Amino acid sequence: MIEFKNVSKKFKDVTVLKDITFEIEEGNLVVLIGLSGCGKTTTLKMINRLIRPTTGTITISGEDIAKKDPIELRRNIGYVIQQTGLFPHMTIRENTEIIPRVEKMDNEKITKKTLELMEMVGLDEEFLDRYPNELSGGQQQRVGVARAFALDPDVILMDEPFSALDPITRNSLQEELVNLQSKVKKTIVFVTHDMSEAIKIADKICIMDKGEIIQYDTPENILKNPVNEFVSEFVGKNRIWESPEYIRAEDIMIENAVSCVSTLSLNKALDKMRDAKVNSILVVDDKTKKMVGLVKPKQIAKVKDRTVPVKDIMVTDFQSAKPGDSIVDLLKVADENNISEIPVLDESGKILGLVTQNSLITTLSQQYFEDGEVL
Amino acid sequence: MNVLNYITNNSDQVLRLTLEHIELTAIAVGLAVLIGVPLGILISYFRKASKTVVGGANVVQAIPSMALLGLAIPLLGIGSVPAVVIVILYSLLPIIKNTYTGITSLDKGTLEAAKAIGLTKSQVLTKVQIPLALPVIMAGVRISAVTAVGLITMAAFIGAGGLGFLIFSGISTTNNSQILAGAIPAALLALLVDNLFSTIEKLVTPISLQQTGDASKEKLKSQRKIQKGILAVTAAVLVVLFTVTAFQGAGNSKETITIGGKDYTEQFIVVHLMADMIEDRTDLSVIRKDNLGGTQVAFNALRSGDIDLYLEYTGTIYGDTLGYSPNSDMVEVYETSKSDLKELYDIDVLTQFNYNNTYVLSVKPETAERYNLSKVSDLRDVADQMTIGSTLEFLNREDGIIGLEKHYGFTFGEEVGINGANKYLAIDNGETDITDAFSTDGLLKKFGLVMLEDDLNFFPPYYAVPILRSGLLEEHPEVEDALDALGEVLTNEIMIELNYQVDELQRQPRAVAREFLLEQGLIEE
Repeated sequence: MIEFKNVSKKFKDVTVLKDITFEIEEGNLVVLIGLSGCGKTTTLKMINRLIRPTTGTITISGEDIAKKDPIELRRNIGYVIQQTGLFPHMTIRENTEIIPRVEKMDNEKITKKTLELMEMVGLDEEFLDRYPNELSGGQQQRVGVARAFALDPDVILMDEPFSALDPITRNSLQEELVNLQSKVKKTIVFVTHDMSEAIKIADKICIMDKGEIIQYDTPENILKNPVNEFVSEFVGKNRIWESPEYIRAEDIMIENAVSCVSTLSLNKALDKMRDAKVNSILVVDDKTKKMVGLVKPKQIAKVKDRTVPVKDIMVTDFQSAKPGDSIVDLLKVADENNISEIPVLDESGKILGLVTQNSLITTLSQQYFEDGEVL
Repeated sequence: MNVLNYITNNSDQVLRLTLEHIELTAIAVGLAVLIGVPLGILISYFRKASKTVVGGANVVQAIPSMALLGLAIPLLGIGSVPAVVIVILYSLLPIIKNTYTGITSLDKGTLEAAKAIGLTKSQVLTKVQIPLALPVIMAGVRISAVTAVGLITMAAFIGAGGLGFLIFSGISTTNNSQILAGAIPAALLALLVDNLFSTIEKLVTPISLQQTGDASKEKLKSQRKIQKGILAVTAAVLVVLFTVTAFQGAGNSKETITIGGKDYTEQFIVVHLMADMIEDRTDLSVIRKDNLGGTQVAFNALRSGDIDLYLEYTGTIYGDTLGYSPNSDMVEVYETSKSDLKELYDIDVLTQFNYNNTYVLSVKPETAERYNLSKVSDLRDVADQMTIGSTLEFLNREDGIIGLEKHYGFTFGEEVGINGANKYLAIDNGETDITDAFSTDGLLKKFGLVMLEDDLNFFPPYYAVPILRSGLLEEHPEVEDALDALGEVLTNEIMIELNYQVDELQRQPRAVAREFLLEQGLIEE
């Protein structure tokens, strides 16, 4: 765990960081984001003491880094920046092995580790004897990542590593980073100014402005609950449509779905639907309160004796959704089953709400209208 | 063709001087690198100091090299040490500047990455900064090395040897072949050095950063192997040559003394006359350091012990070194010189030689005829129409043109300072009308000039006289006899003839001296 406690930084008269306190949990990928000059890079570089705080303390796993030997500290923290980070006069092998070599590690171990790293970042062995300028930008960045992992550090710092790459390469590297992170579970601190990159890769996003942390939260919360105008501006109105998986059933369902107990007579059920102007009613068990079926007026119309309870004619084979299901899942269910309404049930099967045709259309249409408040 | 003849006839000398030249250059540039590169690195850390250091090196380079050489003599004496020191001073600027620029202009991101991944300061320097800056640093070294090859020719001025010796001697004796025999190898050497260093420059450029053009990396690699081979062979040859020459020097077990000489024909000859006499008549062996520049250089060299003796002139000691007003009394000038030098500098003055190398105003026969000139006082009415072309020294001396004009009561129309044999060429071309010849000068005979008699006894006596550093007479009293025997024989006529042999017939001073001594029976084969 990396902890910032009341950290400030002044360069001469300019305050670039104002009393920052936050924690980065172990195994999390945290993205620091903000406009240029917001203090995100300063914050990152403080972690390996490239920059020293003016006041405050930074601890890693409880140890104050100011009391550690900076060289040793840095060797235990991986560091990735844009392509310039590779040494142009060294081959890929030399670049990757530079720190293990100065640490005088065993030759065989180094060679073995290098091959592992190449495999990890998806580069062929033959690249080892080439020079950085013989590689594409994406390949160079892979080498940068490999080098950062050379001593198997617990913490890795990444300073806009993908920003100079073309969008396609950037996308695939972002995906690979997420995959890699899910395997190795390092603590990664990642600086970017690209919000979609942040949302895509982050466990938590730390939005900074003018040396202060404005919001430090999960991507989903930042998208749905921006703390202020700055964050929503920064995040962008329609940003959520880049990650529709964050639009969930519970966000768009109507909560007061019309329902009745299974023992209710058909007549009464019909009255209830008429009053509420709906064309279906959800049936719940009167004892367990679990949803057990669904009745539509069409079905009642076929029955002559309307004093029988709804449970005799209700459809028990119905589609339902969980509150965490995304709009993408809902649309899929609606499409595949040719239905227009999906009840949302909790784990025990009780009704939480109902996603209707109407609510789906309203939600989907919002991305095309300026003022649409999504959720 | 004459040059080729000269070089083939004197191949030993040309080869030795070339080696000396290479050796001096290598030492100077090597030391300049050892000083300049660390200094350049240092000021890249302390940027505030960089302006001062680079500025200082700039100033040094702005000082004319000859002036710097002159100023160094009182501090460092003569010979290779001051020459090398001065060439180092001159070579520093490009090395410091390029090192500084090379180190400070590296990509900031690369340097930050180096620091961030946990390299120590010295590892950043040795693994990243120096390798990346090396091509720029080497470019600086290359400039220095080429400049140094040229500058080392100046070293001959203070007796450090090298190809400059041939150039200076050639200028003094109007021997163009000799000048070229020095200049051509020096120029070739400069080109060679340039080429060699450009190869090194390419070799130290990381293969990844080299402009490859069409050549593939494989091709480059094999090319590099060949270049490395060439460099290795060159280095090996140099090492062998240096060790061989060093052993040759060390192999001499005899006691040696060093005889110095100034930078004109007569002095070249007398150095060998004195040296041959001493080597024949004593057990000493002699190092001959001729071509030491003017009086100041030679005298300082004697005081500092860089040379053991040289041939001075009584008038020069009296007027220049001791600073007395001009005096035409031969005995008084000699006695005062002898006692004062002993008292002030503990320098021994031996018996004066039989020839008097004083100033003598000379004109072309046509000029003498036109103005009816035979003695200096004849110039009174015509001097203001004449241009005198004389040595810079003569122009500025109380016993030169200043006193002369006062003494005879006339003023020359124009004065032009020309050193060495060029003043004879000037009078021969008609650019000047009259010159201050030396009365033993072979060029008088060569150019057929008419000497004007000093009828009012203005010019002081300039009898040749050996002067010895303190202590030499006690250590080797036998030197005095050898030199006395030589002094008796040398008259003005003989000196004119010997000078003529060298200046006009372009013979080697050493050969002329030896031949004369053998003819006279003063030494044996």
